[in-house]
Amino acid sequence: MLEVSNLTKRFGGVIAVNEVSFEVEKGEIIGLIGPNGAGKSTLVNLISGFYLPDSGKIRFLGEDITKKKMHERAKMGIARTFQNPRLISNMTAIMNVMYAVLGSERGSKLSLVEAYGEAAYYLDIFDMLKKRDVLVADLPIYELRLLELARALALKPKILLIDEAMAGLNPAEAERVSKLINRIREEFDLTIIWIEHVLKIIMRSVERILVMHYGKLIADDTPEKVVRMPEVVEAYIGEEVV
Amino acid sequence: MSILKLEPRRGRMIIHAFGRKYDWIIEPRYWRNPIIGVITLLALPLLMYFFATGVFGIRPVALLSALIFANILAMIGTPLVLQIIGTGRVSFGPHFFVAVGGYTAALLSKNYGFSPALTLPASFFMGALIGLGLSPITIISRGIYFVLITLLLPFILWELTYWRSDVFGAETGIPGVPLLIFTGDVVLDIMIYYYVSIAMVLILLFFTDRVMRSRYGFMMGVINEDEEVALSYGIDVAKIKVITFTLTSGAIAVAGWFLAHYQGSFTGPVWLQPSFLILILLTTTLGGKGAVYGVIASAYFIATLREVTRTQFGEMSVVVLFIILLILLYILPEGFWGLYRKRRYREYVPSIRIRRA
Amino acid sequence: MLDVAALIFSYTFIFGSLYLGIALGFTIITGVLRIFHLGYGAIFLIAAYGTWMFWKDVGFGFIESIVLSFALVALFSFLIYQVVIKKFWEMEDYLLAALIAVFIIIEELVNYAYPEIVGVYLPTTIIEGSISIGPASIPGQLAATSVIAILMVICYLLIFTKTKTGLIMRAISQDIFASQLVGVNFDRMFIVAMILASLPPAIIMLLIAPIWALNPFIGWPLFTYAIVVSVLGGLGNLRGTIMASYIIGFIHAAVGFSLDPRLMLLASLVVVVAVLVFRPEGLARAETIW
Repeated sequence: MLEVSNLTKRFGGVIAVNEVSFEVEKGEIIGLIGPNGAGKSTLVNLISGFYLPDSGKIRFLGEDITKKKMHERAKMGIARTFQNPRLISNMTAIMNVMYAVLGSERGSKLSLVEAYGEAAYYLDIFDMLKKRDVLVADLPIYELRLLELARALALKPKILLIDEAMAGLNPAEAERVSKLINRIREEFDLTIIWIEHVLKIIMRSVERILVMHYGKLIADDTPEKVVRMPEVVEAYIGEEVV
Repeated sequence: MSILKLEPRRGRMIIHAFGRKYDWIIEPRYWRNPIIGVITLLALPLLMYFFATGVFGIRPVALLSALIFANILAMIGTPLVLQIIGTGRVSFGPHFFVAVGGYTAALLSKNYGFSPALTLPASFFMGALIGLGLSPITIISRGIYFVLITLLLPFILWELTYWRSDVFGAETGIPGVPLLIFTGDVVLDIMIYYYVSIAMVLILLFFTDRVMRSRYGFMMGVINEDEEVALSYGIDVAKIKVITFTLTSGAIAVAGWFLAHYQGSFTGPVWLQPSFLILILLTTTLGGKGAVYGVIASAYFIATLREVTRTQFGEMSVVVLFIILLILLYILPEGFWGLYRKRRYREYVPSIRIRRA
Repeated sequence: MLDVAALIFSYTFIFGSLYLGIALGFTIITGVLRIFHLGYGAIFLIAAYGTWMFWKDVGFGFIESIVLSFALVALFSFLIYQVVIKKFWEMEDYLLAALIAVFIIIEELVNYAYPEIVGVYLPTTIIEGSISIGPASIPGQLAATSVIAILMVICYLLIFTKTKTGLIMRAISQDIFASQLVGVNFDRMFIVAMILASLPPAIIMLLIAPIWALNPFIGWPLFTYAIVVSVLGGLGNLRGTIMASYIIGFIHAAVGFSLDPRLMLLASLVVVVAVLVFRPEGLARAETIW
């Protein structure tokens, strides 16, 4: 479904993503981990089109999207969330979902009222319907994370790139978010690439893990095997794995 | 969509979607106040003429021409608000497009004998064409750089008019532009001009309002707030910006067309002055951030104030006018619309700012 | 042909230095405060007409009047900072509109008090007559102004590289937030920068007053030169401003002497807009003042 080959991105002298290649099958849920500055977010930004790669190719649904613009990729079904919730703070919760509905492929035919109805549906999945008229600026971080997910889902994506869904949440909230992600994955038949720092939860939730270190992909296997790889342990020295 | 059913009720809309029921309250002020506003605007000149004989020593005819000036400010301000929201950038060069429209109308009618009916679309297209040519800057340039480019554009045109003063007439302008209305009766003329200009304002207002409440207006709001978010959620930012900039530039040029045919001449350097820019900018900012109706209110306020200061303070009038406007900027950070508008969550209030980056 | 070349050469220097002096303060404000001071043009007016006011209307001696007008300029900068810039720091559209409004208010006040027919004339001539360099002859006062402009730039560079205040300002211009962390007193630094920046335009204005006909609307063209130069140089970078001044000086000299003097400003405006579109960071890519 998604095929990344030899992707490289440099920022000045720093190689943020170095010759990364992997494939994602439909319906997979993949964890992407790595120490700080490993290039995880850059990789997501490359796939979503935020940056253009210096070299390498990205194929999605059999089509080369390396040169495609960000909004075209979004319309094709690549949705992402942001590491620091990036919502429009002077709009209400439901408005923040509405524009994703309008921006989706079928959204070009919807009127505002129809988009409102649909957005309400997506908010309801995350139990946020009662907060629909609250300004985003007034929402706590947990609800912002949920809203990010609702917004991404409203794009009706085929693949969802989650850039840290749990940063800033307490363990109970993180648990709930992880359950919700698994629920929407089944309900909407999603493929998910999930960047996370909270390793405990991600190890339990995903079937396959990619590990990045200094821009390189150093491991690509099941969680059980990955934690035993010496390269991975070395990359995480000082950090607790599992 | 078949899963969706809309059920309008008194004051609210019930939406059945995906087996659930949602209600959406439509506030009556959304549709009642515009009607009151339109009636006020239409009745104003008649009231002025018959009842207000000499308030602050202003003759009714002078007051009417002040109100026409208010309409001109509103004609520029309304599309400008749309442009600011739709491109996410604050333009400091709306008067450039006014001058473009004015010169197009004046040159075409003087040199080629075009009638006002023909110069109207010509001005619009000229403005739109130049807007289209300049529209890449709304994508390339951010924040302060956009402000600077738009601030310098009028100066370029200004220099151009002096360089080719044989064509543009520099500060003497282009005389002999056919008048839009000429009946021979000064009062009747000015009354008709008022109604023509208010009709133009209302048409612009209607369009702007429709756009703002449509899906495009909503997407423009998203672009105004965060372009990167808009892009990552499938909104074609570049397309919307180019279309917005092009069409609103054309609309602003129409104000120049009106000026040329109202005054019977067009003198660019008068309108390319920074003091005119400031009047336009204050019309939009005092109107309230991104509020289209507020623009009308502040245009009328500023134009009336300008006339009052002109009669009361003579040569010091500009100083007094700008000091009053500056004070208003301090005490009304939300503008006139902010006085009227309560904090209503369902309504999106655009945040208008110049990004530093 | 040789005449034209000599003229272009010498006027590139003259214009360049002049514009450098005009834009110096503007660059400092843009560099240190990171705002665009659209009311900068008012400083020229206050310097020239303030001197005239103290000299003719109040009755001070000429030199005292000049000193007093400099004090007035500094006071104006201080007030602009305290009343306008501080208040609208976060709302840049209001800030810019308010600054232009202040400029227009000053302009109209000056026009009310001393309209063009008053014939304001300041005898600040240093060198009478003209100087010949090869086939080109240059008004002596312009040459003197250029030299003083260059001296001023050197002074300011020394301030920025040698004094503690200057170093702090450079730190602020590099990173406003980091310097906030190490406890720089912003307000004071910004006021100092505003006042420092208000002196060069005042000096230049007084020097060119005898040769350029003074009128109440002279602020805008001078301000336009300041914008043009500092935009081309990269907003708020002195190195870029120095380069840009001489480039604009060259464009003006070349266009003025070989094409049409009326095209001078037009040519430079077109160049600058093109630069703004395609290379908004200007000639200097640095984001700092020096």
